[in-house]
Amino acid sequence: MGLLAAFLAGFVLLFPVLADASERSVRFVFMDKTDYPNVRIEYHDGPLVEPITLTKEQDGRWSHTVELASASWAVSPSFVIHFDREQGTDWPIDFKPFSIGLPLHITKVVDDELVIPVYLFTKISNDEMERLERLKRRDQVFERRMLSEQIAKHYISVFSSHTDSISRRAIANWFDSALSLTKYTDNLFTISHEAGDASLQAYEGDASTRAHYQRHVEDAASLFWSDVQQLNSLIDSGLCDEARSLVKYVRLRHLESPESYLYRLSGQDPDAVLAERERRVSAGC
Amino acid sequence: MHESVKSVIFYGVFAIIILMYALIYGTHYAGYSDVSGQFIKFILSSAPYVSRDLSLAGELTPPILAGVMSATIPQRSSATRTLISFVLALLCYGMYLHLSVFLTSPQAVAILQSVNQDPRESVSVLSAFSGGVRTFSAIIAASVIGLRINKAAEG
Repeated sequence: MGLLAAFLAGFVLLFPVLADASERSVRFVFMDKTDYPNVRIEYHDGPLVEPITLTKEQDGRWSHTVELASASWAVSPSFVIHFDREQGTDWPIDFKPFSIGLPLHITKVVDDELVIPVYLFTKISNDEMERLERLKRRDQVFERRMLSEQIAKHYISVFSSHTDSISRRAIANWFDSALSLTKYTDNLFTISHEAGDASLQAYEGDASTRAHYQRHVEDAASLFWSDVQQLNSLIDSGLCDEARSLVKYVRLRHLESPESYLYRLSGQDPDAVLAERERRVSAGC
Repeated sequence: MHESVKSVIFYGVFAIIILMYALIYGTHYAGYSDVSGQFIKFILSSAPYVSRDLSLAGELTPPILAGVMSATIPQRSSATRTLISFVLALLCYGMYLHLSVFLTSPQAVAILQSVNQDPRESVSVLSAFSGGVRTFSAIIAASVIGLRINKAAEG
């Protein structure tokens, strides 16, 4: 299973290629062959919430492919996995129902199919927590990201507290894993609001740690500004439609969150930056 | 035995019992469940026979200890001291009754899991331990009242 996970993770992480927007899709593959009937996945894209029906592959794994909506430049869907355990369901762990969220930022220069390996927690212990904390390699980030959020959600739910020492450790692991996934996928996966909020709640009263988390949360919220850096390569590659879409997309997002530029543009006027990019597209295309 | 030595033993034992409750439940309540887990792990590893459910040692240890402790109840002639001793014993009884209820909660299971303890086995041992402390406290409380009544009868 480890080899397959490494292959899938590598497939997602190492080979981003140019592809047509209309062909983009996300494929979930459950790494555990066990049939867990109380796991549901939903595709969230703005107000649209679409339930996903899993199908069993020949190798016994559950999977599903979501065709992403054709977008001008980027789509930022979120995949939510619900753990709706009911009494009597055969699951190795007792837990209250919870959900985990996996927000993405998929631009046109992303691979035509993303494969996301899904891991489900089957044990909770100090050993398991330590094992996850040690998963630092590129091919291990999905496992750490998925399982650490599940364990953190479990502890938050059981202790009804973000600040309990055990919850706090699990939340720190969750946030770090989200940060690693963001880093290794070059911002394809983003830090969820939930991970940011949970971390800030967990470290109430600890100004320096909160500042660390706050910086990353703001960084994630202003992610769309980093797309601007790809403009020159698009123009040089002759992808003028994509270049125009990019500037239009960033301008739209800027209107939606007008203060995000503060974390990315280091003092520059956002409107001037956008106007300059528009001129560059006009000149280059 | 000198009265001051008796007082030290009597109140010292109850202080330890209250401290143990604080380390198990109080630390969790204060948001340090990892400390609670480590202390539970220590109890489980250090007293598996004394506190094991339905074992001879587990059943006999609390009343034997309580019998020994009865001899150290200080200042039997003082109504205030008698009341303090009685309230202390009742307080410990109540604390460990609460602890027994807590041990059956999802929080306790999560704490045990966080320190790699099998919840079912561990809860059984801890419940027996908690029951032992309750038996001990009840015998002390009864002894305090009994001794006081005897004193009154003598008076």
